[in-house]
Amino acid sequence: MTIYSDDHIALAAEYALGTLDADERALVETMMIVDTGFLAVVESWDRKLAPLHEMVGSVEPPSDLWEKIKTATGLPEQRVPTVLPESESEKPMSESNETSSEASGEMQSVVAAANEDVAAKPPRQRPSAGYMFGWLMTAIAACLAAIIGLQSYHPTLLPEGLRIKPKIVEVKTPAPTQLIGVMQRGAYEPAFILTVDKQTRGLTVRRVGASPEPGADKSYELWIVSSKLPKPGSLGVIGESDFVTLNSLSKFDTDIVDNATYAVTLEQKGGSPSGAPTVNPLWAGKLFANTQAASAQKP
Amino acid sequence: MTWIITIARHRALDIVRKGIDPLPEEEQGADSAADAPIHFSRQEMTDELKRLLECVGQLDPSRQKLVLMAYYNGWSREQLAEKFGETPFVVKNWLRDGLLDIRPCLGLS
Repeated sequence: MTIYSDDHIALAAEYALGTLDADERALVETMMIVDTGFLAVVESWDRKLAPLHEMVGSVEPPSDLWEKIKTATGLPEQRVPTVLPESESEKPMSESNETSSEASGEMQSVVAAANEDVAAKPPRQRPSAGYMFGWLMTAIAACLAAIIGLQSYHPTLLPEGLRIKPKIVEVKTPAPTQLIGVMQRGAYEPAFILTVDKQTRGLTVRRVGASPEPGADKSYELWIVSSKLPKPGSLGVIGESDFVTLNSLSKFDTDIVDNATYAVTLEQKGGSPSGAPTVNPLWAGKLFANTQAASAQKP
Repeated sequence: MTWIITIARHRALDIVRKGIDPLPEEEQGADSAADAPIHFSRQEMTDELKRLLECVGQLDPSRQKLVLMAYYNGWSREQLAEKFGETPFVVKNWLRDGLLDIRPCLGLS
């Protein structure tokens, strides 16, 4: 059994709590795929923190959400279930049957204060960050609950169409021609920058913070990690020069390329002999559409 | 139901962290979970929740608030730092110390 450092455990706990940024989340998700022991650590924190949802009031999903789910899945009209599973946490309890412990009573004021703060003024430039997060939670949970009800009718409908986001991304952004990703650990340690041409799927890796000499008999190896792949796929050895151009992405579907996590591991010289990563990644990140590049190319 | 909420929460975090608007502005209804009243005092708490609250209750009040605000609002370290008037680095250390401190209480090895 692997013994994890406090740094690893804190990373897993913060992932479950939800305070990591996008790249750190990608790193943890990669580690969860590569290392089942670390996956168990994350899941244990998820389980321990999950009861906090009992302290949140239930929210009725928007009335048109079910129509959107039906549209997204192509669900026939007659197969629509009329009743969703009822959550036990939504059952009200009489005021006289108060069972709050002393500790939870103290916690009530803290939670209430936190909630008031949310309602009053979220702290970031996006004025509805906490608001949107709560809305998202509601919408996604409603979708998932609906999916369970549908499984017996259309088990093959579970995947893609249920995502809430795509409509807006297409409307608000110019079609990107380039994807970029920063391989980093934390917010201040970028190691490599990936650039992907969306049309040719040509991949350029620029070394920024990583040492050009990872160590004697060692090489950096770049991996593509996706839940749609049976295992991480090697994209090649990188890092010995400032720029490396690879065409190894061309064998992967566009959807996988766009949404995968990219990770860098330190392998033996020349790369992993088994074709699979042998250690946890040093850096990881996801690709984002480079809309500035797309705009700049317009006359 | 718990696992659904966990999946939904992580999906929501991924969407928020990427800065993608999930729906057009006019479709973001007024009945947000974040605006909904917390009525846990009227609900029957599970033993797991009581235990968790006892563990979080061992932290300093400010750290309790930090952990709970992070969970309920889905805020990042940067957003928490702004709220608490600290740097993200300080918040990172607070979160790290707080979560490691309650680990034994939660029965996590």
